Amino acid sequence: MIRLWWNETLRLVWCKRFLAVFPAFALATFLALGNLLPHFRAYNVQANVWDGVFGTMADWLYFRFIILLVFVFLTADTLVQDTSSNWSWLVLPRTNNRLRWWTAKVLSLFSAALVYFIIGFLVVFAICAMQLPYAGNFSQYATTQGSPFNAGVGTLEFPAGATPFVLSTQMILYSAFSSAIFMMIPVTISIVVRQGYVALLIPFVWIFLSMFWQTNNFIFSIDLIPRLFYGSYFSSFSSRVINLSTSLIYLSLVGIACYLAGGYMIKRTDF
Amino acid sequence: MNEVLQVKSLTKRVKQKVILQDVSLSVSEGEILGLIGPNGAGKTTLLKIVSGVVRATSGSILLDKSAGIGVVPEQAALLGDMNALQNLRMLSSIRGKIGTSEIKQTLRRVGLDPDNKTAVRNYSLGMKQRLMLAQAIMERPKLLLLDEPTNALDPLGIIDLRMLLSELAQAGTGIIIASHLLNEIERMCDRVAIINGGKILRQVNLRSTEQTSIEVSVSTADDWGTLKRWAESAHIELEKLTPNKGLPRGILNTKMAVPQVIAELQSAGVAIESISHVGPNLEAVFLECAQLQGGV
Repeated sequence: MIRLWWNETLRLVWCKRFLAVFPAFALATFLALGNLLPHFRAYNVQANVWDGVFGTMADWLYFRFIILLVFVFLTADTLVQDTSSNWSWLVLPRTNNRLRWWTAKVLSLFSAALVYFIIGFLVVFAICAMQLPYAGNFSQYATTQGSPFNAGVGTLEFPAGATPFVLSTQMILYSAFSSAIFMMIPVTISIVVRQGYVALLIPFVWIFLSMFWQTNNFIFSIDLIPRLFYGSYFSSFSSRVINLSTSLIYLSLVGIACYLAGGYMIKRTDF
Repeated sequence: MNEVLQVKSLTKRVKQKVILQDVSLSVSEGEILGLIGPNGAGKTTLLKIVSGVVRATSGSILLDKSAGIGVVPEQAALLGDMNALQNLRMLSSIRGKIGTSEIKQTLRRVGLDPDNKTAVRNYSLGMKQRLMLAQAIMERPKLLLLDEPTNALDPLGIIDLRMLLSELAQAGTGIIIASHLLNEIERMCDRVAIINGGKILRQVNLRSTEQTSIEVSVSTADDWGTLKRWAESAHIELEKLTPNKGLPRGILNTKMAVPQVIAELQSAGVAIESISHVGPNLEAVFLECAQLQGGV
């Protein structure tokens, strides 16, 4: 089982297209810094590297339309590709257990997501470290709420006493978990609808539609997309509607439902 | 001989369409079974059901899964960004039965360099096919399934494949080859199942020990007369063929081996120009089956 999981993870991560993680996070960082740096200069505040890191990875716009979309592109067709390339014909007779294969596939989404966000974080940190000074704590800019420059990272309300290291780790783990859960939906559907473009289109369309839904408080509260983003829980804008603990339960339930549905279908599917 | 695979009354329907209908066949240890039929006959589906990636609607398959199945799909199913050794390591790690040294040995056996670091996407079709063969045989399965294995191979590759399959069969591996190339099937296989429209139309034993056909070509018309009289006295059926370059020739259907026939004809005073064993004419059998199905 562990070997199979390792194999499936390698399959997702050890390929040329996974290199997209570098330009994706680099683009998000440059866009974020492009907004933040003039702001810092205008108000003459002492920012540090963490302002850049959280300004990139905890910004819902970059997360949704760059980071999450690229992850969708990297993982959506994992099952369709296996089938269309006949790879499943080599793997299934060796496992003799379809459920084990499905479990490995699901787990590989989590491990690939973790690799994706760790590499992404390092890319963001490296670029930010070239533009902003290093510090062990959040800057005055990040922690002063309601100040006149409270427009960029300032929309985030970090918990009192939180350190950037702990918060970064939590952000990476949560983003990996939530993104993997999100991708379980198209991957599960692709067991039945064996078209790569369908597996890609479902999350793409959802991500864009979610932009319009978020004005409605009820839809916002049941929509999965805002809950994928760790920054949501530090944003004054959304913290009234969703919170971290309910999101963890919600995401876990979605994950379990997809796993069970996928397990049921995979036993009855021809490859 | 022990059977490594037994397929009984296998049927596969997709919605209302019948893909396979009441298919029964078996493969013994060391036997090479050819599966021939036109495109869409159900060959690949049958192989997929045997290997467990497609589920049968009804029927049963008896095989020892722990002994392993090796599969060579028609299209190379490889990870393009990895090299040959990485691909095989990845697949072998699922069962965990063999290590790197066995993988390297298998790669050499199929004519590939195990130290070649080139990504598989840059391999030629023939190299990919050899690699597919390597992944199928590396764990020494008791049953090997090959779907159109000669498709991408050059003539030398086909000869290598033939020799390799023969070696594997001698070592006890049961092999099924699905193909539409009659010549190759005839050369490689012990037995052939002709499949069309999802049904096994006929099974032909190409290595029959009961009665064989021997083609004889003699020097003159007198020799032909002597041959004919000898065949009559020995109660052997002699079928006359069109003379080749003016030399009379015919087919003897007999249980005798070729050396014995040569000895008998020489003692009867027949001047033999050439003599050879001929198997059943697979093309004729296939055409006959196709005609019965209304295909030709």
